[in-house]
Order: sequence, then C-alpha cells, then structure tokens
Amino acid sequence: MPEPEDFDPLAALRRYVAGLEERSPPPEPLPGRRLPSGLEDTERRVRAQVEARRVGIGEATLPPWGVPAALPPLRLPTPAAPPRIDFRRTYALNELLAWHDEDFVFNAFRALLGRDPDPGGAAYHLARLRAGVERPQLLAEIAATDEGRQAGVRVEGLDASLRASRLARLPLVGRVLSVLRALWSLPTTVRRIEHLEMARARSDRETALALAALGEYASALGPHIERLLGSAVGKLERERAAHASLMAVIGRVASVQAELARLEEIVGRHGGNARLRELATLALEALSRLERIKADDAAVSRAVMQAERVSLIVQEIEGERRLTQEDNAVMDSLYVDFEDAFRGDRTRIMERVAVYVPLVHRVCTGPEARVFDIGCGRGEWLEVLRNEGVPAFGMDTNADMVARCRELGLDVVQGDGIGMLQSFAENSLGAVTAIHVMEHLPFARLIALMRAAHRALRPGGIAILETPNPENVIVGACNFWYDPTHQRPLPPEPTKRFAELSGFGRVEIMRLHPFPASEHLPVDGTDPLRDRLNHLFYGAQDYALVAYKEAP
Amino acid sequence: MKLRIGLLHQTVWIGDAIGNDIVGAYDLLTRCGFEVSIHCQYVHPEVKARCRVLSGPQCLDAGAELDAVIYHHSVCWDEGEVFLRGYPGKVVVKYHNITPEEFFRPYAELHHAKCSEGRRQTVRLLGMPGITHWQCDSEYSASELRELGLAPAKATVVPPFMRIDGLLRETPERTYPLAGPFEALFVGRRAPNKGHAHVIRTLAAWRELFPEVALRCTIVGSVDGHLSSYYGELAALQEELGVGDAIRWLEHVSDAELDGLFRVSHVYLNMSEHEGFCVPLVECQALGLPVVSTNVTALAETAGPSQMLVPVPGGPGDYDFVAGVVHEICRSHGLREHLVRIGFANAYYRFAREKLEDRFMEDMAPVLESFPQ
Repeated sequence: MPEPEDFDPLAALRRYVAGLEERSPPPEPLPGRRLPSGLEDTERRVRAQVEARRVGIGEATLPPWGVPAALPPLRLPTPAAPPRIDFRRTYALNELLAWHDEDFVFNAFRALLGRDPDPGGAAYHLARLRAGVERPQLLAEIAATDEGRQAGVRVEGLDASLRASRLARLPLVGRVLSVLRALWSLPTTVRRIEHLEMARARSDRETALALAALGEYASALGPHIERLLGSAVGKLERERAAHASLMAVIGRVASVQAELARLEEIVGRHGGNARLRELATLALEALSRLERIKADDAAVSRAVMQAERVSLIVQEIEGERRLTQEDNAVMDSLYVDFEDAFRGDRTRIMERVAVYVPLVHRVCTGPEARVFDIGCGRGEWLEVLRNEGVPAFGMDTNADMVARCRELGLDVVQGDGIGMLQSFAENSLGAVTAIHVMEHLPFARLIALMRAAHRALRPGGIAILETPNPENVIVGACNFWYDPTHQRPLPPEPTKRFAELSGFGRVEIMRLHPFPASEHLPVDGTDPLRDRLNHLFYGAQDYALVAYKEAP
Repeated sequence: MKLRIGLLHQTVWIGDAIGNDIVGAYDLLTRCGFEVSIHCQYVHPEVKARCRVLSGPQCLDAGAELDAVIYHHSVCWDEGEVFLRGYPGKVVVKYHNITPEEFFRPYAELHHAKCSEGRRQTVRLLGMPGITHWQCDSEYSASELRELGLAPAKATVVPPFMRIDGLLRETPERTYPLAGPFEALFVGRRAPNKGHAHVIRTLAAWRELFPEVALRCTIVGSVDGHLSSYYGELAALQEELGVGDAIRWLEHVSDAELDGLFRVSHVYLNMSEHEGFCVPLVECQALGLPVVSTNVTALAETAGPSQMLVPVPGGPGDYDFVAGVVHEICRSHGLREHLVRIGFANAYYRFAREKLEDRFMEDMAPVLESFPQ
C-alpha cells in the first residue's frame, strides 16, 4: 500500500524515539501451556494421575536452577540412648542410684511409675535434683504420688536410706553417723565414681565427635556461602551485562535521535530524498521491534540484533546524507543556471512582480509591517520592495541564490521558509509572499505554508502566492514541466479553497501574464471558438492567490 | 561448460546436522550435472575423501571463479563475510540459526561472544545487496529474518538434508513389556540451550511419582571444555536430586551404537530451549520412537502435528507433568501407537530424501535457471 502523501516517517521516528522510555507494550504472548489439540484427553488423564500421586507424597520442592546445591546436612553423632531399666515390681536402691541427672529421672519414672516420664514431670524432677535434693528423697517423692502408690513398686533399701538421711540431719550424732555411713558405703561410692568416669569418658568422646562434625560442617559452610555468594554475584553480573547490552542498544537509539535533527533539515529540502525516507521508515520499524523485544529481558540477543540493524541503517543514512549534501550543492548551482535560462531576465521579472506593489502598500503601513518573501530566488521582488521603501526580507534554501541576493545588499537568509514562518510570533507580519514556490511543495507542506502564513500575518495582512496557471493548456501540459523540481500543477479554484480552509477569510485570484496579443489567433467577433482557444492556449500563464487575514 | 557452484561453511563435519546438509546438497547438485565444490576451513576426512573440497586458510582463494555460492550461516565466520563482500556472483544464504548468546553468558565468555558476533553478522549479511534469497531450515528461522526486515519473498523454508531414508524402511511399531524399566534418550551436544537440567528434574519427579517402575535416561552428546561450569552445575543438581544412577552420560558413540540406542529406548525426551530445526526429532519419528519435546522455537514445527509437545518447564508442577506424559507414553500402547504413526508420517511425507531434494531444487530453480544454458 503506498504511503499517504502526508506521512512523514522522520517525524514519526522522532515521536517514537521521544516516547521510547515511557511506553512499555505488553510482552509477546508466551507459548501455550497445553498439549497440542487432539491430545486433550491425554493431558487431562496425565494431570489427574500426577495430581492423585502427589496427594500421597506431598508437594514437589525442587531447588531453582542455577542456585548451588543445598548445604549438606549437619550430621552430629547420635548420643547413646539413655539406659532403660526394665519394668519390675522390686528394685534395689543401688540399682537406681547407679544413674545420674536425666538418666536417673528417666529410669526413676520407669521403675516407680511403670512408664517413660512426661516432659513436664521430667523437667520438674530434674530441676529439683539439680537444686540439691538427694536422689533417695526424690525416689520417695515419686513413689508417694497417687500414681506411684497405685503402681506399688518396692525399692529395697530406700526406707533405710531415708532413715539414715533423717538421722544424719540430727545435731552432733548426725555428723558421726554420716561419717560412719560414708565409710560403710565407700566400696559402693568407688564403684559409682568409676561408673561416672566411664560415663564422662563416653560423653567426652561424643563431644569430640560432635565437635569434629561441627568443624567439618563449618568448613563446608564457608565454600557453600562462597558458592551462594558466587551464584548471587554471577546472577547480578549476568543481569548487569544484560542491562549493559540493553543500555548500548538504547545508546544507539539515542544516536538515531541525534541524527534525526540533521536529517530533517536535509529531507525538508527539495522534497526530500526517497532513499532517506525509505531508510527512516526502516529505522522506525526496527526501533518498533526493538521496543517490543526490550520488554522481554530474556531476549537480549534479539534486541542486540535489532540494535545492530538500527546501527547499520543509521550508517546508511549517514552515507546517504553525505551524498545528498553533495547532490544539494550541485543542485543549487544547477538551479541558478536553470532560472537564468528559463525564468526570464531580471528586469522582466521585476516588471512582472511590480503588480503586487499597490497591494503591499495598502497593508504595510507601519514600521513593523514587514514583508517576508519565501523562496526569494534571485531577489527580484525584494529589490522592487526596497525600491518602494517597504521593509522586507527573504529566505531561500538555495545557497547560490542566497549569495547572489546578498551581493545585492538584500536581507536574505538560507533555510526552510515554512519553518521560519512557523517560528514567527502570531500577528507579526504585514505580508507573506511566495512567488513560484507552491508548485515545489508536497501537498502537506503547501497546507503547512498557508496555515503558517495565516498565523503570522497581522489582521488585515495579505499572503500573495503566485504559481503557474494550468488553466492555460500550454502551461499545464508543457511549460510547467520545464522545472524538474515542480511537484504538480495547482488549478486556481481548488487552491483558493485550500487557502480558505487554512483560515483566510477572503481569497482572490489574480490571473496574470497572458501571451502577448500578437501571438493570439486573430479575432473578428464571428467565431466564438477562437475566443475560447485564445483563452485556453494564450490566456494567463500564472495566477496569484491574494489571501487576506480578516480582523477577528 | 558446467555451472560452478560453491558450498561454503567454516566447518564441514560428518555427524553434524550442517555437515550432513552440505554433503546432501553436494550430492544432489553433482547428480544434476553441476560442478560443485565445498569450501571450508575445517573438514572431516570422510568428506574430504569423497567430495571436491577446498579446505584450510586458502579455501576461498579461488571462490571468485564460482558462478553461484550457497553460503551456510550458523556461526560467525569473518573470512566468509569478507569473501561475500567482494564476490560478484549469485549468493544464496542457507540460514541454520544461531543459538542466542544469553544461554552461554553464565558459563563461557568465548561462546557468548561468538554467538553474539554471529548474530550481528546475520544482520550485516542481511544488508548485503548480492544475496538473492535466504533459505531457512524452518519457518521459525525465516520469521526471525523477517523480523529483522528481510522481505518475506526473500525468506524461503527448505529443511536440511538428513539421513533418515535408511531408517524409514524399518517397521515403526514395536512391542515391549509395560512393567518397565523404561529407557529415555536424548541426543544433542552438551550445551546450556539443550535443557539437560530439565531432563534431570523430570527424572527426579518420575522417581517420586512412579517409584514402582524405573525410568533411566541416556544422554548422548559431545562435551566442550569451555562449558565445565555448566557441567559442574548439572553434576551438583544430579547429586542433590539423587538421580545419578538413573542417568547415563555418553560422549562419543558410533553410528551403530547410536542406532542401537534409538532402538532400545522407549521415548525420546527433548527438553531443549532453542533449536533452529532439530534433526534427531525426525530421526526418532522415522524409527518409530515416540517423542516428548518442548514446544519452543522450531521444535513444534519440526515435530509436526499431534505430537507430544510440552511447554518448557518452569516449576515443580511442570516436571510432574512431563514425567506424567512420559509415563503415559511408556504405559499406554494406544497413545504410543498414535504418536508413532503420526510421527512416522511426518518424517516420511515431509523429510524423506526425494521430498527434500524436490524442495531444494524448486527453491534453487530461479537462481540456477538465470544462467545461460
């Protein structure tokens, strides 16, 4: 499909780049999470089966990919299980006193109550034991509980031991008895000490093993933490690298943006260069794809490829720009020669444009009422205005033309006249003139010219826009096309309408420059066809739109 | 005088998908009466023995005399690009796709850089004016080029030549006891885009879900010294999940051994995340081995319709599903038969030798017929 006439890919590209940071389109859809069609039954069956099996075995917990394997579990040596005394009806006291601390409480419960201790009961009695209560006393207390009495277990020697303890608490006698009792039980005490030493040795061995396991664990912990850190750092580095790639991409996009400013000026001249327009369109497409890809962090490689493509397009744009600049220089000089050969000599043109002097005099009455001449060419009209004392200045894209005007002392700058017009303050000019300019412009630029002129003119100001008149068949069919930079002939009536639509309240058509009467078909008043042919072939060769900006 | 056609690629190796494609094109064009030569820096001795090969650093020195060139693009080859820039004849690029560099970023800077540069080279080649069109292994690769601005008419799809005709003559159906144990197979170089971790996790999921029957997996593929950190991660994962005894890693196997593996396996388990075509899928289909494959990049397109394609797993539930699918295929004769029959038809109707040759010549006709007879 051909592009619409007013499509400006450069402007679109610039808008696009400007909005690049704000916009974030939705990412491309992910592939479906289902089996292909035709296998739906299989999928349902498999999902149901897997779900049913999972119910029995619990949720799957797989570590995420890329994270180091979990730290090996700490394997401490299992402490020896506490010795478990058998359940019997009768125990010897010494049998129970062979245990100490937790083991003692544990086995006291088993012996006296016929069960393992509950956590609360064990904690209570252990606390009392550690507070200094003697073990026979503790045994007596457990045996005296309801549960103990119900169990009815007998501990031989317990009563004697309790009695001896009571006697030992008597003043003076008790002390003697305690010494005798200690002497009496010395062999038993020695055995207990030996037993304790053995237990201590076993405990030391277990502690040593536990410490060794802890040491091993600690030494594994270091590398594990290092791996974890390494993984995190690696992940960060990967993200940083991916980010750097994307930033490079964005940097290239920014270079496109910088390029656009320069491109616009070139493309604006001579109606632009088709290849540049094409390249700009390609760059726009590539950037648009780049943005879609950018939304997907995983697709760095695709983004890099698109960025490479944008970069290559920009290189080509730069090459094309250089060529265009060289072409423009050649074109400028060539066009001056062309004007000299076909536009007519300077004096004749000055006579022709003098027809607008009265119009300008009517509106340019104050010192601020200047005339701006767009596409001033060789400066004939500006020279007429200077001679008439009307303040005026001009603009042209052709460097050679501008140089020639300056040699004549005329106030002329090189550049895009429409852009300049758009930059003027509203209501600031007395007249805007463009003589043989409209036919060089694409339609969108023509409308831009009319709108910008209307905006910049003071109320009551005029725009004079002269162009070849295609109502004259010789002009429309032949002479118009002498100039290869002409876009298309502009018939007066539709062009007038476009001026009205651009805001001008009153627009008049001045038909100008008919062929000399000597070239007309002789007319004797009897043949209306001759009148008609004279109008068609020898009538006005140019016309001007004289458009008035009305007071609000 | 015969038309001289050159087939260009940095490396031409037997057993490699691109090497097989190049030799296939060489044989066909030679049979059609063209004077064909292979130009590559590195070549397998078997190829050197049976084809006209110019290899080594000077392999492209006489390239300018060729009338047309088919340039196989799968890696960054600077010498090839320089040659193409100065080559005046007709060029067709055979595009085999290049693994996205992000797969290698965590493991091997060299591979990351090579893939990245290869992909940049793709873009540069796309801008060369002398290339008549790009032959792509798959629609997936063609779409990638269109995304980069290649005119749709210039991106054609021509599957690579492969050696499945000998396999196709076999009867595809086979029977085996449903009580197991079952054997899964995966063939592909041991690289991060191939999804080895997904295979390991699938085996772990199987072991939890179906403890009553064993599933083992043989993974065949060449090993690369630059990817040792990737292999370390795989080993750690395998150990952590306790499935080391269920996986057999093989590096070099002969054709006969590989053929044997295809025949004794019950399912082909391909969890790859990026493939430009994937020849092993078609080989399995030709042999009657049912395939479970991820559905990304060119894989769904190569596998054809109604095959067991699953998304790339993203969480524990997905591995359960893949394990469930493998279990269903191994235990259900009906489903298995369905997959095998349709897979066989896919291999036969799309990738049998005469089909590939017809497609290749049809695609090359505009180029070859443009020369005076």
